[in-house]
Amino acid sequence: MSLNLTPDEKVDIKALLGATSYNFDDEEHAHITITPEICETCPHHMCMYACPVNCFTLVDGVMTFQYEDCVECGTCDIVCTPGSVEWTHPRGGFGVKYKEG
Amino acid sequence: MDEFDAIVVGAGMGGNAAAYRLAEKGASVLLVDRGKPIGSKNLSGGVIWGHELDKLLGSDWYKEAPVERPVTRKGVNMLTEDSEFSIGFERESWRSPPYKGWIVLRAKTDPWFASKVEEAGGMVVEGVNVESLAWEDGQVVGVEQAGETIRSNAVIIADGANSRLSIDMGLREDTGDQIPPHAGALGIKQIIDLGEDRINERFNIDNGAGVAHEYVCGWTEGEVMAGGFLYTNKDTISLGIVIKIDSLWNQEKVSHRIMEEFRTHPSIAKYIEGGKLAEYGAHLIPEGGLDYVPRRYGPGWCMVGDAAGFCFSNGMVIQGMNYAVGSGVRAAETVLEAKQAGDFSAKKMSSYKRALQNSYIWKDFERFSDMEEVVWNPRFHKTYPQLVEGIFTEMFTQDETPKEKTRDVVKEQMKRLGISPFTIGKDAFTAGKNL
Ligand SMILES: Cc1cc2nc3c(=O)[nH]c(=O)nc-3n(C[C@H](O)[C@H](O)[C@H](O)COP(=O)(O)OP(=O)(O)OC[C@H]3O[C@@H](n4cnc5c(N)ncnc54)[C@H](O)[C@@H]3O)c2cc1C
Ligand code: SF4
Ligand code: SF4
Repeated sequence: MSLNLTPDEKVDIKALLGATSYNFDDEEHAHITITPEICETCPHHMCMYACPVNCFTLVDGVMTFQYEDCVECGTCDIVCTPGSVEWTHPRGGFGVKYKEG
Repeated sequence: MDEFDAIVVGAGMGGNAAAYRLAEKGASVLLVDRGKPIGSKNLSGGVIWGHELDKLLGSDWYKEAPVERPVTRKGVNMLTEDSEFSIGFERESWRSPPYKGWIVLRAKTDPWFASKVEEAGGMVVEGVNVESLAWEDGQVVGVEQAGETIRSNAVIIADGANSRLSIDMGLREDTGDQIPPHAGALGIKQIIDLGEDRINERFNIDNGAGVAHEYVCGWTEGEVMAGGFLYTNKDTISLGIVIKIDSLWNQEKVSHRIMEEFRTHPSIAKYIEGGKLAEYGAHLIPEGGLDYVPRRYGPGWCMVGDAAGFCFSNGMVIQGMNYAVGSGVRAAETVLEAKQAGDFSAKKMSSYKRALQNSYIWKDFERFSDMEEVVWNPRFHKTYPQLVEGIFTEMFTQDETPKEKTRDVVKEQMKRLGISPFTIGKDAFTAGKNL
């Protein structure tokens, strides 16, 4: 017996999220935003490790955020000690839509 | 005149319970939730332990409610990378009332619960995100939404773990804008569609029985601490993991990878093989206990459930729903008393705190603070699973060398892991005292 997930095997989060429903809002109503200049001096990039759905990625050394896959758990706001994450709920009725929960 | 006796923000377990008690006793109540439909934002494990719902809705509530299965077998399991140590407990009497626990799916139970509020005469509005409370002369007089004020004598705040209303009220000033990392756990969950027959076969149960397994995830590298759970629904499995957020610091370990390691661990894979992923989600679990919420009532308001910090998890059990219902009912009763007296001042609302302190809820949370030290502790999550693995491996290995006495095996393994009998004794004592 050993872990079936080998260390270099990637987790395909997009594929997993295919099972989850959303009602996407348009970009101007994104419920979370970041300030990349603050991220530049961030000592830990914990948002990348904590977010359960990969909303944070480093692209050429610049932190980028996409709000669409967000499941509204709030973890990024908690771990972002430098204060780059501006977090709120999506507008009423928008965002993740659990059918099981 | 105010439009409502009370507005309840959030139709989770806490808000639904509060609104139901208010409506049932003839108060005019508005229940507002940001999800559309209600329940679509809510994710739990989820076993409802305890009997608050029996008291509120009558002991037959489960006959009408969309519940999955009663818990008839509870298992606690320690996993290392390639071993599993399990303790199971099963009771025939758990198959019949009074049930110990019901396994539920919140996107199904919460809309049902809200429909009970409506039946009792409450008004329910979905898809509305309350932005802030409305204040007048230091008193809460309703809620604000899209520049409009909806007035009420009291507001019950039941907006869950990520309580934006708490932040809005300045109740989180000490901790920045959210709860501090050490007071939170991240829950990640997958629903796996297996079908009723396969579930019954693999867990050796019938339709009237259900299984709740908790796991200590001893395989995780570095300092990461996580607990897992597996609950049987009617035809799906609820599989998830709870990660202590501050234990992720400087570990370069991605949260969803830990979930996948759990899902593919041989001890789990054998149950869910051939299943299909039906939903993936995540939700915060507040577990700061009594400390990080500075106030739970004030002039014209009370706070209940996760928002008020009444949730406990230790990697072996998660309990929040029963406390949410229990605190919701007590808040509603405080509002009913205040309505009777025509007095919604902070002094009057303080009877909510007294009701909590006189109940098992407050006492449980005082007890939990000791417990936290034992269970969110690297010994519990790393050393003990390895110790158990070492002892059993030694004892069951036939390698033609003379067998040591069990006592010597235990001693040797403790030495290998650098842990003293005194420490184990102390942990066992604290755990025993609190379980
Ligand atoms: C992975 C996981 C497993 C768990 N397992 C268990 C378990 O097995 N047993 C158990 O007892 N507990 C468990 N819990 C804990 C339990 O789910 C919570 O303690 C419980 O749901 C708290 O109920 P609540 O009513 O306080 O909050 P919630 O159920 O979160 O409800 C809050 C409601 O408020 C609404 N809302 C929020 N903000 C606004 C706003 N501004 N305007 C309008 N509406 C708003 C939300 O849409 C939501 O409906 C688990 C939690 C997680 C994350
Ligand atoms: S934790 Fe905050 S500051 Fe650091 S990289 Fe992430 S968003 Fe930026
Ligand atoms: S709220 Fe949760 S899911 Fe959404 S971006 Fe933040 S960490 Fe990711």
